[in-house]
Amino acid sequence: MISIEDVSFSYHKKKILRSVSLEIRQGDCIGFLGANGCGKSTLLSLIAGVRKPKGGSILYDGKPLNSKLASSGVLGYVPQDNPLIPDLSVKDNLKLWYRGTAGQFQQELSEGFLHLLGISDFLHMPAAKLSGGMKKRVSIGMALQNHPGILILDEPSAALDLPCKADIRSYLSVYLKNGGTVLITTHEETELVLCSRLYLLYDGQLHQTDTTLRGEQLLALIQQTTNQMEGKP
Amino acid sequence: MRQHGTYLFYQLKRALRHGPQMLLGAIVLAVFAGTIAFCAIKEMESSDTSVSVPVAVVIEDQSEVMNLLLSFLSDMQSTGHFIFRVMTEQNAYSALENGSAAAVMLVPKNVIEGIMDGTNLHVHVLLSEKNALAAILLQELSAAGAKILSAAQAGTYTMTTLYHIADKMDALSDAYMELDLRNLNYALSRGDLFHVIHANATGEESVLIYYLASAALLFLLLFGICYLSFYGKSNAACDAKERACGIGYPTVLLGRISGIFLYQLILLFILAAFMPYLARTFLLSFQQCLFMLALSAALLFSISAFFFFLYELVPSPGHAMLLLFFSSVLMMLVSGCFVPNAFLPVWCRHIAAVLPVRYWMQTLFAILNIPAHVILDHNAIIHNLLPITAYAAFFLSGGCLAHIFHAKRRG
Repeated sequence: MISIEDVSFSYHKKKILRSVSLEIRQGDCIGFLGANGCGKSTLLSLIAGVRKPKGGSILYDGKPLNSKLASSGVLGYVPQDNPLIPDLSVKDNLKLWYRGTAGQFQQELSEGFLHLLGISDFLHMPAAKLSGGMKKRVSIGMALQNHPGILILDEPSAALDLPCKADIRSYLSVYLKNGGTVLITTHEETELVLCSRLYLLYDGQLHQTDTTLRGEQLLALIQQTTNQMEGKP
Repeated sequence: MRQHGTYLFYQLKRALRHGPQMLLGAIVLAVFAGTIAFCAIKEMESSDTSVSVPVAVVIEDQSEVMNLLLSFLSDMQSTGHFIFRVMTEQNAYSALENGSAAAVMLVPKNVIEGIMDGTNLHVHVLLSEKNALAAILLQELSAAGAKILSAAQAGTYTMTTLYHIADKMDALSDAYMELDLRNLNYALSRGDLFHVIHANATGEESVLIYYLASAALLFLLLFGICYLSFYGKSNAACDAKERACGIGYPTVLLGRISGIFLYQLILLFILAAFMPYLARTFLLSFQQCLFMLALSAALLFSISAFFFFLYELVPSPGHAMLLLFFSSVLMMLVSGCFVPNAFLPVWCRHIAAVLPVRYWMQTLFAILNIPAHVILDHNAIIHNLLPITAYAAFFLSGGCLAHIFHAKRRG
């Protein structure tokens, strides 16, 4: 489905990704772990087509991601920061990226995932006046409202309250059961449980790890790679 | 395609949401610019009536005829603002140095005889750099005086030649007396038939038109500050979302340009709505109204492009606002929009020649002068339209390049 071949990326002459290769099949849930600044968000933004790789290629069903494919709604991307336009209302922010009809949008609000996220309660508030958690909900809602085939989530649960985290987790399980594909960076163990494959990113390369690793073991692994990157023993 | 249309629609909606802020900003700016224009017009008009220019006169031979000429000059209406003071050369130079004299007039020996016999000895006039307005007035007066003298001399020489051909040289002195009388009679009566030209520091424009244009330009330029809220903080996540949804640079740039041009379009619609009233008041023809609107549209388009360029040039809208304020005020100052060019150093005029403000100001003059002209000067209109359109193209392309550069730099 998605084929990442020898992808490299550098930012201000600093190598972030070196020859990263990965095959993603439909129904996969792939988790990316790593220390801060190791390139997890960069990798997701490359897959989402936000950035272009300096080397290698990313192919969707054998074709490179172009603007037509991107605008078709095949991808749902939730960046780490909230992509909301502050001077538009929540409804306008959602409608801006909604690809269905006005009737379908109303249905989505009343019984769809937007309803599940509790967005209907503050639909007419300007995005600038929302709390951090509310903004995150809307950002996720913006990505999920078009029911994309591939979900790319960059720390989706950050700043969310526990009920909302649970809602997202349950939505992701349903989504995966229905054949959806999820690429996620997260530090939430409850979300890691959903992952069929787990990759640790350090030194610009992906290293597959055991999906059963939890808690202290996971922390120790990340700490170990951080120390390696910083040259500590 | 639908996605791009929706994106543009919401960008315009965003811009419209800032309507109340824009309106408030426009009112404050209108009051600000209007006050400046009002004060400047009042100041220029009051200084026009009370101006008195002291001129130090250094005479090499002080004769009765010379004293008569000076008193004649002082009594003339056209030289009423000048106070001629005869003094020694040394005193005259010190007066020029300390600013108590606006000019020194060095009158050589036998100057009157020189006028009479046509040798026309030079009268040197030294102007003070400190008093540009006095310098302009003296230059205008000298040019007018030279024209009158040359016309009188041409008459005298013609008559002398004719009398010489007719071999009536003995009757020439009586003829000179007769010529003086007739010259005077004709000159006085015919004076009414010629246009009276008022020389002022604002060049060809009246003080009123000059400061109206200046205030309008200040208002239009500072109106760009109101776009601060529309541009808002740059949001890398929004950029990412746009790109992830296939919204590329052309659509993003079109959205930003449309948002900026929207309010200029509204201004243009307001002007168009007032056009029937203006046409009735100033008896404007349909063609004049059309030209007025076309020039206004080009001017607003060009100024909007300037806003777009500045907001895209610097990374944050706050910096753009500061840059807009300082660049506008500085360009207006150098281009002689606050203080007429006559008072500014020559290098300022060279710089002003390449600044867009000069052409915006000229376009405003053209717009404000349309009611005063029955026949439209198409050439002047085209001469204004071309440079401001070229500047608009430059600013638009520069703004687009700056946007792409910053977007790529942000990664």
